[in-house]
Amino acid sequence: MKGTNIGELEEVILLIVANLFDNAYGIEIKKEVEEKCNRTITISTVHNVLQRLQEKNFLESRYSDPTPERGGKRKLLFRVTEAGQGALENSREMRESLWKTIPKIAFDRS
Amino acid sequence: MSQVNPPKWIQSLLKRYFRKDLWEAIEGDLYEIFLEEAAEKGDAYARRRYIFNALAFLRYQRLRQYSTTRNNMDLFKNYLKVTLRDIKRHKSFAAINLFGLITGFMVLLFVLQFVLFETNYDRFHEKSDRTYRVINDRYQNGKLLQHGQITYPTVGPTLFKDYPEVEAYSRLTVGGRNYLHHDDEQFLVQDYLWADEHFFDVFEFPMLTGEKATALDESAKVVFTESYARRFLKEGEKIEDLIGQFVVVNDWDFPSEITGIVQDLPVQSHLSFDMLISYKTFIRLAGEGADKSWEWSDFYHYVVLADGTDQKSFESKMVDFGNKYFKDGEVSGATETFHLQPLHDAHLDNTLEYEFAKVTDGSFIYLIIIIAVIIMIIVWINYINLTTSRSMQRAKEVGVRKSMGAFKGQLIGQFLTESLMLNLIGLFIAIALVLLLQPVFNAITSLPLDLTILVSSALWGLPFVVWFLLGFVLSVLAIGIYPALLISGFKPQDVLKGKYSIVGDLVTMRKVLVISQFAAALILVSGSVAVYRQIDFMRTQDLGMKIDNNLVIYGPDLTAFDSVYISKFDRFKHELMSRPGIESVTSAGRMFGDKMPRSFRMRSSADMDQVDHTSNWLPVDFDFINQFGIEMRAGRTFNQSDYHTNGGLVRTAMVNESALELFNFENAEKAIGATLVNVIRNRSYEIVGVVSDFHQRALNESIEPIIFFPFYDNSHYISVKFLEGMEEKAIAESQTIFEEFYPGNYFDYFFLEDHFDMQYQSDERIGHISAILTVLAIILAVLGLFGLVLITLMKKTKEIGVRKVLGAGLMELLYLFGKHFLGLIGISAVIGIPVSYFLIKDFLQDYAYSTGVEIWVLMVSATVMIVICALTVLFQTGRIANNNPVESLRYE
Repeated sequence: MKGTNIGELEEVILLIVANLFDNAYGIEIKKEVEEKCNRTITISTVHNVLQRLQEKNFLESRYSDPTPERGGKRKLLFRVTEAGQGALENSREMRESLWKTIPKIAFDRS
Repeated sequence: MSQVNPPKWIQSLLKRYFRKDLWEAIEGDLYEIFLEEAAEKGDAYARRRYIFNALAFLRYQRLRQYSTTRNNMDLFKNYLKVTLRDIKRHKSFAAINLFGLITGFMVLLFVLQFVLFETNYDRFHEKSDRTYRVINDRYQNGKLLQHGQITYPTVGPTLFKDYPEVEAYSRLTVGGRNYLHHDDEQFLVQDYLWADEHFFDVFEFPMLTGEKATALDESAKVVFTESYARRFLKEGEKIEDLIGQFVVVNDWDFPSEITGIVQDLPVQSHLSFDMLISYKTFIRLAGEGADKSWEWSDFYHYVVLADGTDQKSFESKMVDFGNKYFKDGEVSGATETFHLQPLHDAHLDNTLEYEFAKVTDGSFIYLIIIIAVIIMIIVWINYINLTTSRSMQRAKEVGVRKSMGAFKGQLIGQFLTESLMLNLIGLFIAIALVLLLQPVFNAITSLPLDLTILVSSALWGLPFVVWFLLGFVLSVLAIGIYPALLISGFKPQDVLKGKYSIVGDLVTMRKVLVISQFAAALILVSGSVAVYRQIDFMRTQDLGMKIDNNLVIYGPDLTAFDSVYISKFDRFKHELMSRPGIESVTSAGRMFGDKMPRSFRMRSSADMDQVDHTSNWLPVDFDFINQFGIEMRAGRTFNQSDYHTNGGLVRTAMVNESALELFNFENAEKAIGATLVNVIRNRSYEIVGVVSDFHQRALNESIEPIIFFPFYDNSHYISVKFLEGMEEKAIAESQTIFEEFYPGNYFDYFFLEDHFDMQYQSDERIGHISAILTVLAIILAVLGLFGLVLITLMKKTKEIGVRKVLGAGLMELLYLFGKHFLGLIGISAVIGIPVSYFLIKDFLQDYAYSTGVEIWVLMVSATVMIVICALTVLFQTGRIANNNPVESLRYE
């Protein structure tokens, strides 16, 4: 079991998988990343990150029923696990606690 | 829904690569992207992106089916490190190997460029794979008289009419030097063809402007190449403006219309021309015979066979064709047989008589490929020898690796990797040097060569470079596998205890390799020497005529040949001869070195059977025999009264000795007063003189029968014999007087000796190239020997020390350690000499007059090689033997 901390791209993709509930597969995730985060990403990277997250047990996957528009190929659909949810919440809490403790003067540029 | 699919190959490639449980998802995703992009930006773009997207996956270990690669990488890195260490520790061996590999690959890459270029002529014609040259072989009285492409103008059209397999044909004939007049300017044109209206159906020469279909379909139409046509352009004119303009060729009484401009011809075209004149113009000038004759054979034919027609089966039909139309000699005086030569082979065949196209000696191509391969083999033998004989030094490493649990397979892999690496380094440096030296090589060959030709030319449907790499990998495996097996086979317990010895077959193997190396080197040396000897022989042989100090001027072919031509020409000669430094002047239809025209239906009064004979014929003037120092055997030479401006009135002839035999004369005296009859023209000539044989052509051709006729013509060459060292003066005087007598003609000249020697150009090229390659081969072989001796002696350093301490002299040591190597070289000489003998014999067979196989050449070559090897061995042995024995005993 690797650690529960996650990288930035991993976090983004985890969140997007959660957002896309029940339609989270390669292409859809790629498009969401590109749209919401305004960055380009290759499909291979998406798959790689998905696998990494699955190895960390943050994601689980299953094959959908075949769809004709993909040349009869099934989609590999992902879902965030409880551990994944925990990791996201951890990360969020950590951020928020860090945000809270920033002294006001730090961002005071006047 | 779009029907296009992503590239199949990449799918099947990736399928094997990815984890099975992921593949379907990935394939589906890739396909979805593909469909989207195809709809948006087109199929081609989508396919490119597909490949890119798919390949991007290769970065990620996680998605792969097997992930053992990481471990292998580490091992490989270790191999690399050990190899580099080994190279560093044994610089001289690595240097010998690398030098050899670099040189070998350089030679191979240059040779391949040249060979691929030369063997890929005429591929740009769309139908080139089913286009053929028609070859017409002629037999008379059972003997082959002529092997060539020239044939009768009726052959092409008749083949086309009789056989549906003939999809298209084109006939053409060749023009000599000529002049054009455009507006008021005069242009010289050296290279042109008379081509019929089917020319562009057969050949693919892109036309810049003009209509291919009609460009040559009527008389008085001409087509130019772009660069020639540019000479006509006036200020502000475009190339298109030339269409419809007129040129006057020579002194013809009609102008010819420019109907097309073609792109300049590719270098890889066996046809070469600046201008095409429509064939119908030729018929208009030369008469209907040029269209319909079954006797006049100055014409070249090309046919395109329909798709799927077999060359051999069509050739068998051409046998019937020859019999049907030529009736075994009744029509043309000879038995005519017809063959086809694939257009792709045209450039590589220089055996056709009366050749007009750009051809080269095809066997030369094979020769240099063979030499390059021999060089590569020598280099690789060096590698094998140096690696196996150093195997002992690597034995410990192997022992350690094995004790640590290395599999035999891994060790073999290690040594194969080493072989691959060294070869790759060699190849890369060679490629870099080839890129660097390319301009020099191109200047030497005068061809536009570069490495891209390895990619652009195909062999058996694949780019050549694929075969090259395949050959490279196979060869590297082949040369690597033996040392690898050997070294990896050591038993660790023996090795680590220091107990190892060379296996018997290793020594035998090395001996065989050294012997074959030097046998090959010997063959190359004696072969090159033989080529040079033959060239020298041809150069120094008494030709039977004297051609030195002769300046040849092109005849005044723009001056009309009329009733006063001969008297004016005589005055011209006298004027020239009166000038200081000029000895004599003569004219002839052909110069020495040129191919002479032939008559196929000559009969003699001495021949009871009255059968047709074939002889060369040569129009000469009455000073010809004298000026060139040709000896008279009987009778007299021509005199002024034999000449007539009307050729029909000429009644006399001379013959050479070869013709005596042909026409069945017992001796020269018997021939004087006898008659020769030209059956076709129905004219008879009295023989007034017999001259001795001389070499009209280079010594690779035998002397042929010649009949001399007393003719003049305005196109005949004029040869001016000058006194030794007066060539400048002779040129100046000739030009002044020529221009004074024949204004409006071009004054152009060459030296007769140079002209004759041009025939030896290709032999010289063979000589030079084989000499360079031979020297390289020998250097490499000797280097290998040098290394081998070094290793052997290093192992025996202690032995030498002990022997010296015990009182052995230098000579004794030299003998003891040198004899083994010299023995090997001796054996290679024994093998090499007979092989060289037969190869040289075979080479000289192409020459009618040759040195014969000179045994001394073989002996000297063998001796030289043995001496070089002996010196190598002596030098090495001497060095170690001279060492202080204390040093030697301390060694290791």
